[in-house]
Amino acid sequence: MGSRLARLGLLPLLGAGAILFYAGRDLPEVGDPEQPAATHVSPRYIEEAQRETGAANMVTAVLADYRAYDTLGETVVILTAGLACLLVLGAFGASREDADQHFAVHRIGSDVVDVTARLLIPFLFLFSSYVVVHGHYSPGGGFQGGAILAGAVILVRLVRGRGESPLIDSRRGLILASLGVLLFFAMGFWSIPFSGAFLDYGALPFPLEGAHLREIATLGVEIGVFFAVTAVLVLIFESLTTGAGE
Amino acid sequence: MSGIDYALVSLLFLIGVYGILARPHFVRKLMAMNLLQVAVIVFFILIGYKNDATPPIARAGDAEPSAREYVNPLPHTLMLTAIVVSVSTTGVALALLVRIHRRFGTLDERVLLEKLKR
Repeated sequence: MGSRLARLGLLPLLGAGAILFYAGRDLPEVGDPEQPAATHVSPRYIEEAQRETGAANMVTAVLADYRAYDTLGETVVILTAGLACLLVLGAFGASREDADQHFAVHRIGSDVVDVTARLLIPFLFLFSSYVVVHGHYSPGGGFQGGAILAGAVILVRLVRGRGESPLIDSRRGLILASLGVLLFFAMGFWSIPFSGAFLDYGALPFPLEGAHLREIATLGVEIGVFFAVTAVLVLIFESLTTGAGE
Repeated sequence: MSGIDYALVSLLFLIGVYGILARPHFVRKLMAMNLLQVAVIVFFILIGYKNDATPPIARAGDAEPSAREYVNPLPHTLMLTAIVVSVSTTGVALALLVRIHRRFGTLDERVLLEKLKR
């Protein structure tokens, strides 16, 4: 049944492909500066982002300030994914004892890998913090820094085995991720008593004004995202590799 | 010829959909789903591109950025969200696959359907 259905499925697929190819010819030329996507909404963001939010990186300005609500939803999505992974793989509940007993990820045990990792990991930790804090002035931000830091923690576990970096286990990882999302929500709710609007950074009661205030507030939001992304990525790795010994 | 860029992206997308439909192994389906998501991401980035424009970070000393000189930042932002969603979906899908393998011992759709029938 499988392969006949698959062969039948090829037909509407080819039809959809023909439609896509045909429609692609009507789309504007790649790189055309006069295309609708470049002339209606985006010029305002490009021209006003640095002046209004204090961030030279327009992508960060849009992500963490103009469209912060969208980023909030995205952070909750990644937290939910981490939680779902933990639940599906039985980190809580009756099988928890089994999960802890299985040795997660045997160490690679090679000297070359060990030494290279020792050289890399401190720089990765430092670099991830740099990327988060410089999200305003260069490519970077909470998500990017979180991915780098998660990579560093996962590298430690791959090279040295599970026992070596107990910093983020299931419980503490979830707490860290939730704290990150909570920080984001807190930045949003904090402005409600002052101006009645959610996520209105301009109304926060700090002794700063205008663009500078929004810049610091987006940094706070990015740090929350950083914690959430790091913790969830390490959690997903942990839950997938626990029980690898069986 | 601009049509070639969009045609290649469409091709990637179709390969992804084909992989999900036609391959019986779950991990290959998952990889095809990833390919599909990457195709969509590249498509949006293509829309945002402008000729002779630099990445959307205001250059030092450029107090009045002109929209002609910078690439459109909105698709990039949208695609950051899409990448995060892709990672989340892949993570949960892998967790489900691990469970399926633990319970049934197989990751092949045909073998799995046989086992479920019994």
